[in-house]
Amino acid sequence: MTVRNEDPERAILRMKTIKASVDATGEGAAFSYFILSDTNDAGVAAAEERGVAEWKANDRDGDRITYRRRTVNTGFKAGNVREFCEQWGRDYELMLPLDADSVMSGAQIVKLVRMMQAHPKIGLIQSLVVGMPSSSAFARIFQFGMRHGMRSYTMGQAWWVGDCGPFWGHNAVVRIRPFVEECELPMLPGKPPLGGHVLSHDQVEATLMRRAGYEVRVLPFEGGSWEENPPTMLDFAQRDVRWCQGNMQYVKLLDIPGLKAMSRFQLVWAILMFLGLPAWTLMLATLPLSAHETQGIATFPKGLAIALYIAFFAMYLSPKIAGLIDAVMTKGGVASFGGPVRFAVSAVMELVFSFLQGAVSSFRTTVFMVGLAFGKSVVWGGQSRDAYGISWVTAAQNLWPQTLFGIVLCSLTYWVSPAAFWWSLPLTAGYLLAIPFAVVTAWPSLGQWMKRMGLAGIPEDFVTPAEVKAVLRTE
Amino acid sequence: MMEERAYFQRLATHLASNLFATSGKNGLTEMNDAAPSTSTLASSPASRPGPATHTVPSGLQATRELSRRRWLMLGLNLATWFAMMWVAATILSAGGWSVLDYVLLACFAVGTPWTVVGFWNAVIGLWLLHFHKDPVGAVAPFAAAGDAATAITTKPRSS
Repeated sequence: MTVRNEDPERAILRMKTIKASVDATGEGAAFSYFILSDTNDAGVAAAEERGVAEWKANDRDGDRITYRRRTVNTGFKAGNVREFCEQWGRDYELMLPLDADSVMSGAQIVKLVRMMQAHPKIGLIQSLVVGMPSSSAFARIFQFGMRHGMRSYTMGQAWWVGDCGPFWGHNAVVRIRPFVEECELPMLPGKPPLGGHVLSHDQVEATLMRRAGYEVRVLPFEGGSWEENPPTMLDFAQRDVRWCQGNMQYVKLLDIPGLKAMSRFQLVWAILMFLGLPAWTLMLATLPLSAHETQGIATFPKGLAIALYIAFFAMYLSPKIAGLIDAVMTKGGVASFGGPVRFAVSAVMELVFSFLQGAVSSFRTTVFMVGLAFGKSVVWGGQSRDAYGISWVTAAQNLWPQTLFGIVLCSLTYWVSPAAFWWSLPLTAGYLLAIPFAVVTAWPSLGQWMKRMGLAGIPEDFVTPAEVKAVLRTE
Repeated sequence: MMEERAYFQRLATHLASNLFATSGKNGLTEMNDAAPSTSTLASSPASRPGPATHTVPSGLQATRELSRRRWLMLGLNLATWFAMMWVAATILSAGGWSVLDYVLLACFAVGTPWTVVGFWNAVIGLWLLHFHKDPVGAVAPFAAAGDAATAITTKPRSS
């Protein structure tokens, strides 16, 4: 498990839980546990040391538990993992990187190891990581949508991606030898933000693993693999921006020699994911102009424009729609989300949420990308993962650009063409409502209430696996 | 910027020549002709010798089958994307082409691929989950090994 200034008690509790679960399978003797710290806060570091020392003292397998801290975090998280590989990699065949917020069940870990054991030419199996029950309204609604939508999507993607699959950096089993020998990340030419160390290391490592002749696979079924999602709009936008910076670096990696074409496509795809955001923002920003231009055209094919708009929306929402259909068609599917009423209410809630959240973060990322073009970077630090509130002042300080953009855009559009204003409202409402949206979805009381009502619940909210129960015990 | 454009051009060539070259013979040559000799980013694993096979390295899937799926996916997506672009162009061309029309079309071209691929992923995924007789075998043929009651032998080497 890699950690950096996160709450040590929580991280160690996760490791203890995973170990207990692995031990319960009877295969515990095959596993060792490493806490790999890049913490630079002296207080946190001391607490990590104390916590692991106590764990080691109270566990009969204390000699298989190791704590290591780097004083300089060269290469960030990827550098942390690589340093582990160099120091201990020779002693092990497989490793399973975890984030400070990861939890996995022993049964699932053992299964993944058996798969790797049976297929020595598979270099990496990524498990499908899902959210854990949360008391943050933002995280709950977000992961409700992810949960039902990701099944069809990942399944479809895995069908054609096959042996050139994804790697998300954690909750995956990795074959150490080819990882050490063939997946060393290059230093990127030029200065940060785009040059220097590779930030979004995982997908690059996946492509290098495949180049080395080892398959990279995703197990597209959920089970026994969890993480936490950002508890507020601001945390989410920050994570999005960090991923954006990392993915945009891939521009400098596209010509790595010898990659499978499919792997190269994965990198292009990661770039395109973010290039699309400024494109959409620009389309919306020019809406008053295009509405104005359209009015002067007598032959404007209004029906066709509406048809394209609706067709696009249907496609845009299709992973969600497929997720809902899948839940309805799967035996016990809707029941696992708390029954038909909760499921329907949550689905509608999530739909509205996704539009508002999409507008806020796509604008934030667009601004960031413009900054990126001028060499502006972001700070990397530990994330805040506990449910907490956002004050109106904080929200306003962070989200005034969205709000201002929304007000100017919507009033101009309305002035030119009220019809265009109404049609575009699903896309622009998120700008106008950015501040209240961020504040309300961060209200602890709203999250608590939703939790009590079972709204936007994922299956783990209703039937909580022992491992999840264990780590949420104190929260 | 120039540098980045060069990458994209090289990339386009790679994609065109290699994306679906997965048969044994092409699979081997692919590694070499994909390597631009000037790159300093990372060294190519040279001409790694290996048997010419018709399966992926694990032997679990035929390369022809995966190649067929990728062609299908490419065809569906390109057809959908072009259809949407055509409709968009028809709409924008009403009253002639202004600078704004070109900008909007370019934005649309960049902004839609994720949506289109997401749509087909979801459709294919839903079909696999509910209308395919063996979705696990088709998508994750390695997964069956997880349920075999074999002991874990990948123990620490020191022990």
